[in-house]
Amino acid sequence: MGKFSFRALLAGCCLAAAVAFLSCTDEAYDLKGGLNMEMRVGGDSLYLPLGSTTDFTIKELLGNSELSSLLVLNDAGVYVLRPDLQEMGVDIESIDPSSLQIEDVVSDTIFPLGMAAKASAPVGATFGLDFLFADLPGSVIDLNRLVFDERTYFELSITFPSLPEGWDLSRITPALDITLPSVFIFPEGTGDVIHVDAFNTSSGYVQTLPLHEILVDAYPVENHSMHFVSEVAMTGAFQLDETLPLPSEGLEVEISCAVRSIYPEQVEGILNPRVDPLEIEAGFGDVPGALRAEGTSLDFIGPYLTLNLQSNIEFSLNANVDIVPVNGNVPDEGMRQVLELEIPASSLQGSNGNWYYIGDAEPADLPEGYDFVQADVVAMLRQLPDRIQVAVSAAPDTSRAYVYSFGETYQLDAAVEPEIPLVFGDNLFIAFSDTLSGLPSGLSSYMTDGELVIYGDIHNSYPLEFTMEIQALDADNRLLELQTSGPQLITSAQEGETSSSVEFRFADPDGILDQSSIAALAVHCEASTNQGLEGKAIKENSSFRAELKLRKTGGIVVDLNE
Amino acid sequence: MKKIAIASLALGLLLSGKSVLTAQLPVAGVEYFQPGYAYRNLLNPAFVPQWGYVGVPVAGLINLNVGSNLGIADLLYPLENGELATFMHPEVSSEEFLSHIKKRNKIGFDLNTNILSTGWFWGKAFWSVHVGLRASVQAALPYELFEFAKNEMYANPSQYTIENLEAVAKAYLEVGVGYARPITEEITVGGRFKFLVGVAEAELMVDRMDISLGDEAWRIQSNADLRVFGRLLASEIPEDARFPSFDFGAIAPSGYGAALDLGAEYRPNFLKGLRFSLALNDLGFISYKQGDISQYTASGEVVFDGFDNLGTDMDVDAEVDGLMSDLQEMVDFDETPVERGLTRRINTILNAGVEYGFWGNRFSVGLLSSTTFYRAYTESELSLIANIRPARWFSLSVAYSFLGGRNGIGWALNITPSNGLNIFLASNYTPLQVSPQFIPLKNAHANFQLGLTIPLGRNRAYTQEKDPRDVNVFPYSFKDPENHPNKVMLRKQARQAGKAAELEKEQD
Repeated sequence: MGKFSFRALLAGCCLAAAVAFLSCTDEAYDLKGGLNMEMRVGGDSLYLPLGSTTDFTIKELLGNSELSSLLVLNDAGVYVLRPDLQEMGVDIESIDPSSLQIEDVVSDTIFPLGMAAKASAPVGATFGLDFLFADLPGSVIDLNRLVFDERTYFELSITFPSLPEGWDLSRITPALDITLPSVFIFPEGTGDVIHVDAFNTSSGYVQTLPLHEILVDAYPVENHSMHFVSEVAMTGAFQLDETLPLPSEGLEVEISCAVRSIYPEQVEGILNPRVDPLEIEAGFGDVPGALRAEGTSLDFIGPYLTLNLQSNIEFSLNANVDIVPVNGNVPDEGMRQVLELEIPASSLQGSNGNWYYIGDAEPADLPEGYDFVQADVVAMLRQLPDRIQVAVSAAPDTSRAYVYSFGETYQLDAAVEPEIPLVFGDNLFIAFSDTLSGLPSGLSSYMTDGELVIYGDIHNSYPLEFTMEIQALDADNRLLELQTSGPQLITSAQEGETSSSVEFRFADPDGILDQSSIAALAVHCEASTNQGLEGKAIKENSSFRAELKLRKTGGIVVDLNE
Repeated sequence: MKKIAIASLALGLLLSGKSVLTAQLPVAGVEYFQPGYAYRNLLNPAFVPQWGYVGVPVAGLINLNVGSNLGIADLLYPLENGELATFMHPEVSSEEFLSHIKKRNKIGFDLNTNILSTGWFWGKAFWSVHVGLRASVQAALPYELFEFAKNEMYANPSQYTIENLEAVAKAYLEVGVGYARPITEEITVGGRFKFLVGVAEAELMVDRMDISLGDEAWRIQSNADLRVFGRLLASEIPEDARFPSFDFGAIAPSGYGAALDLGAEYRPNFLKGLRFSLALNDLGFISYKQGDISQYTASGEVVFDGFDNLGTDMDVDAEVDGLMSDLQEMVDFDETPVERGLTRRINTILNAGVEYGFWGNRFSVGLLSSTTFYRAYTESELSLIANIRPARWFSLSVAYSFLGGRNGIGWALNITPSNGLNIFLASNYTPLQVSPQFIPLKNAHANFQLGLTIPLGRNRAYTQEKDPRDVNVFPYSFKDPENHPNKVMLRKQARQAGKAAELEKEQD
């Protein structure tokens, strides 16, 4: 290689080295230490349409709770809280008729017939039918009538036990008048007097009359027994055949009056059969805690209970109706309402018994067939109880007499159905809270810069005014004292729908989120009414819908290295 | 086997994803004025090399080029605490980042190889034949895409229109025959005809994407087309998938085409050493048959106007998943029928240069403008090049490129021993500012060229006067008649002879 070539090569190498040298290395861009992957996503002002909630009708708000299933629309299109009709029945004590089923009551007398009168032998007597009803049930206080079934009858018999030889009944002609007791009630058409002017059997005369009733109102029931004697009066004579000599031993005639086969079918009087107390409950199911929380005032207008009492006994019953709200198993004694009701005899009841409308004030449009009963139902429901317990203690009205038929099964049935129209006064207050968990991890880190704003419009067609506040909680459900915009007001709808703008701001100027992160959002809402909203009803179309958006100033900072 | 290797290489380059996509196509550069560079005729078919040559098979020429008009310093930023962060970091202002972003941000990769090649002088003409593989991937990302990525929401609503987001990948084989000859003492012209065989091509065109982000809705309307040419890339949309998947298909030509390279050089007599050159290369096309084209379209509007089940019992994760699913609908491609075959032009390159050589052409300076007409965009570059040819066997060029956003220094070495292999090494882009990992900070350009050829015949730069037929095919000589080594030697010999004669006289 010549000298010149070597120099040229050297020059070329120097030039190449110079080129390499000129390539400056900037240590600031050294990738060896890795990249900081913190990134701002969303720009300076991240806007996100969160969307629209469903229309929260009252049914939606209550969700799948039992309470929701109790909501029905009434004829006016107003939601009413109507627990299922609860029914219960008890038997009324049966009065045993056996104490009135006594042996046949018989009174008989043998009269001698002498020939002194020759042509006629006068007879006159009184037959006392002695009735003794011992061991009457205690529920029998007094009796007015005894009504018998078709087997019971009165019998008059005339016999001649020792008719002399040569005599027969053809030689004796009766002419008797038997006067029956006025307390005996026979079938219509039967006279008070039995005229006997001929024998009707080979041995004499027998007459039976079905005995319907015996009037016993004149006889008191004392010491569980009643005793009386009913007299049958007989006058008249027997005409004897004068052509035949009368035997020396004379002639005898036996006359008997009896009430046989005594089978009472009914009694009328003052009775007091025992009626077992009955207890029914109308439950509201699993009531959300907010509806019974401290400070909650539901302030319903016109809530009422319908109570149906029905008996098939022809007695008027006096009933004590004890109504008390129960939470858990603890009755709220302060809210107990005791009502005194009269249950008419069955014949005076409607076809479905007697209906009572129990409420604070009698409505102008009291449904037909209902009896209004005043009770402070509003107070009772101010905080919705688990259930309303209704105890009915009934007893017959012993100031009056009624008919009791033996063999019947008497019972008293009761049914209660609260009906709470969702119409509120001006003093409603409900506070409820919910927690939104399952938030995106790292939410706190998104908020270290700028502020997070959830905003939008809330459309409200409830006649309620709401305030809503959202606060952040840490993993232990402790409140994080972030800077927020406080409660937001959602105005109420007098008619139709209102739209309220809300804005929930969260900012962390104090660096609270450096210490603990957001694990959940607590949503606190209060519903209330005021004077202008009194009497407005929650209807089928009453709803609450939120159209929400999100704004995050400063965007969201994420660190992909984490 | 060779076909498989070629196809695998081409497909691998096409599918190699992000790392390849940070590149730039090769354009003529520092080697343009290197007379020792055997493949100089590929840059301008009117150029002829100093020697005839036979390229080393496969390694005759490997020209790898990656580049982007974005650099690492455009995407990564040092923070005050010394850490390095992405442009998405909150401390990096929108104004600062976007000031680095061009109207059209380009990334590209290009491979240019000569698998077989040869060139020889024949009379006054120079002939060349080559078989080469050309592969390129380019993508053009509009400014608005970066603006959207950085700013996203700046107002309510924030609106963007992103147009002409394109990505094209293609590979083809070319068989070329070149011819150059001087037509006058001042002008040499040349041309090359190339027969093209398509290997594979894919193009993704997002014509327009309208984005509106606000608190009422997020609305994205897009219209994108994806075409896949050739049988090597088999594509289909799998069931329950939104985007086509690709797999190896048949190794078969997928399309045919042709291209022309045309060039001229003008050496005015009024100023010896001044040379003007102009070339228009790759003026051609490849046609694909209807049956070898798959076409997919994603068109429609995705609107997100809120979560479906907003409420306290909302499953946030599920809703976010739903949102992401909605957004993925933007790339919900459907295959659409192809009604006819399609013709795609190849990337045409326009080279224009002016060079002035002095000191017997041992030194020269040149100015080169090189413009490439991509489907997605046009790329231009201006380079100032200095050349030194200190010896017969060695030449060196240094270039500085200062247009087209590719400021950087290039260099080329050509070593041609008297007997043996001609080795050519060059890099068009040697960035001036790099990271410690040698990643360009400002413009991510890198180029590497390796040429291995076996010289044939004599070095025409020095033997021109000895051409028995007096054919001046190599148009400019490094010979300085007064300073030619022979004359220097003769003068030296004469001086030495003169001194000897004087001594003899003195002795006599």
